[in-house]
Amino acid sequence: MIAKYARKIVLLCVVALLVFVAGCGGGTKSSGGNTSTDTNAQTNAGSGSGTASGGNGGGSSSAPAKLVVSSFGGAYEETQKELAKQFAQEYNVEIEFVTLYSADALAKIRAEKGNPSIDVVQFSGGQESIAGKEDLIVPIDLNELSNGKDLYDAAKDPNGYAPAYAFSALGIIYNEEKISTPPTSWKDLWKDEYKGKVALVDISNSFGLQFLLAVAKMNGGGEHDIQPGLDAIRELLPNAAAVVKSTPEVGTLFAQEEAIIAAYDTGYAFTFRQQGQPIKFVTPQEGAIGTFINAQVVKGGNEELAKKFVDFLLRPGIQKQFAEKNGYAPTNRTVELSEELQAVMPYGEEAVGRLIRLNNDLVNENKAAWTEEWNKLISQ
Amino acid sequence: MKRRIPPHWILIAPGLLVFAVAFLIPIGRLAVMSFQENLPEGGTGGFVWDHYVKFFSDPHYLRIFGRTLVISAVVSFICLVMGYCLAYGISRAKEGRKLLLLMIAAMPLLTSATIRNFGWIIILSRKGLLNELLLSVGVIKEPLSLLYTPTGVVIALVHVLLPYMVLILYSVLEGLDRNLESAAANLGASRFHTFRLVTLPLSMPGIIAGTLLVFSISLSFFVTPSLIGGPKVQLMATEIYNQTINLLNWPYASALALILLAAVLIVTNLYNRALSRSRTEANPFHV
Repeated sequence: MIAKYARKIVLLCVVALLVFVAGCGGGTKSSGGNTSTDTNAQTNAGSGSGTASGGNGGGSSSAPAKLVVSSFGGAYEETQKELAKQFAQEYNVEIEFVTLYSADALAKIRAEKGNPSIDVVQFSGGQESIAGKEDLIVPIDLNELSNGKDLYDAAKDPNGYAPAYAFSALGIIYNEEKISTPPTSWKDLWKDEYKGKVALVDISNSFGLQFLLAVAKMNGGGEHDIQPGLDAIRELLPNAAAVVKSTPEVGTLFAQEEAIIAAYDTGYAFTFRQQGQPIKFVTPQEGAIGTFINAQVVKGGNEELAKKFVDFLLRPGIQKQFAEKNGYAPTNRTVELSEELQAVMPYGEEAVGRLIRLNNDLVNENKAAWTEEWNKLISQ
Repeated sequence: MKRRIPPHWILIAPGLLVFAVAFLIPIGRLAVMSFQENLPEGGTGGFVWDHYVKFFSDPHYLRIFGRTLVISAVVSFICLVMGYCLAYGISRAKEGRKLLLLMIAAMPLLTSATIRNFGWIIILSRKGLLNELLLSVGVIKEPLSLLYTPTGVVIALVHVLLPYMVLILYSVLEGLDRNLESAAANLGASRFHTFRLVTLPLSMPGIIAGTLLVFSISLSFFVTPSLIGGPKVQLMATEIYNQTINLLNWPYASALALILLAAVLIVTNLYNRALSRSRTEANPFHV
């Protein structure tokens, strides 16, 4: 008897819940937002309680405001943290960094639409085009930024969102102790002598996606026609030491000399070199694909302060330090770099202008289909 | 007629409530979303079957699904064999050493799976500890490819999940009435026969519970396939991540998650039935 009723009650509960959920979840465009904001409110309260409790009680203005910024981890984030101290002092704010790769960051602000836990989000893989389309970030008028007039044209966002604060480029990185004649073209990766020595980066990583497009362009395709790229990658697979997803994995492959050559990013080549690896970067004759690293103001966050932070990242002094410490090229044309640094990054009007800018709208439109094809290819 | 709430419901209620809030509601949302259209400008649209049709008609996704099932089954089997030996050994050890041995077996649970998997990366890579050792001893001439392969994933998963198996099997083996084994020996059974006809059938509940637990955890395990398997070894969990984070196709990711959930429920149910039946056949006294 009891068992019979219990079953019915449980079943009823489940059905009721499903109906309830379907009712409130179906209509809204971005479902999943409610639950995540709850937890965020909690974590914010938890971590900020030390400083914010006084402000909450008395309503005084002395408690510093808080700005949450996403960054890419590792040496990159360390440098930004260091530089951000100046901003924190000037504006009396507390800055909290959260480590999120571009894709993760986009997924996060998408899930938290309307009530974000991040105020400034950083992208390096063209995600700003999706974020803009989905109304997750705020457009910025360059005239409102004190450094807006000094930027290279290449830094400006075609859709009117925040400009790039650093350039980076996809080219060839190689172990200079193992390879005596520097590679000159993407085609060199297919050479027999590098059999089993190429680090291939997965399409889920922005640099892997850029490489696929570079290869497609080299073989007569591009954003409109990816097939030539996929065909060439199929032929490159026997040369690959491994297919990896993240920067640390690329670093490990080079450190263990499992890989001696790869298509990767100039900024990270700089970082690996600083870590003591004999890694050099060359721009292939086909041209380097540009990475336009940008910080965007998240809609619904602390927008005023976030905008100031974006402007802060465009300051010549900050960009100069960023270039010196991390190897990322400035987007502010007033920044002067040493010749040594100029040589390892896309610096100056001419070099910056040569960077190939991918059509992010087309890329994002087709990414799902390309990823499926890529996954089928590499899992064979 | 007055009906009182049976007391066991009062005990179950708090757990059920947590379960409902933390599990049923999110799963319900997933279920709804998995039937919604994924709109290119973001967000979800009207009712469609597309995601399920896509999954079951594309050999690529069916292969991912099959690979996930096979790897989980292999991991469960290896864990069962290794775990049984360990648990049996510990339960037959001297009284004073049992606790120590059990703690050693459960030790891996004290560090997170992520950290243990980083350890495996160092061991399994082509220039890793294992290959260096085997090369220097002369067992192999070419380094083995283990990292970024299904074999590597199986090795690391066995390491992560073995403690669960040991703990479950130990509690069952420890609770066995040893007099039954003595009785079997007394009636002339060899040690092997005693094990096969007495100990093994009696430990069947532990075997079922242990393999089911390991199987269902490994089906949905994300960290190990992601770190050790890399992009080449695509499993359901890594594909769900890929669809959610990289491709932002949440409806399809929801469909994948629900298919995985259904698979766990179906497989465990069938397995449970099959083994429970074989247990009653092998052991007519229902001990």
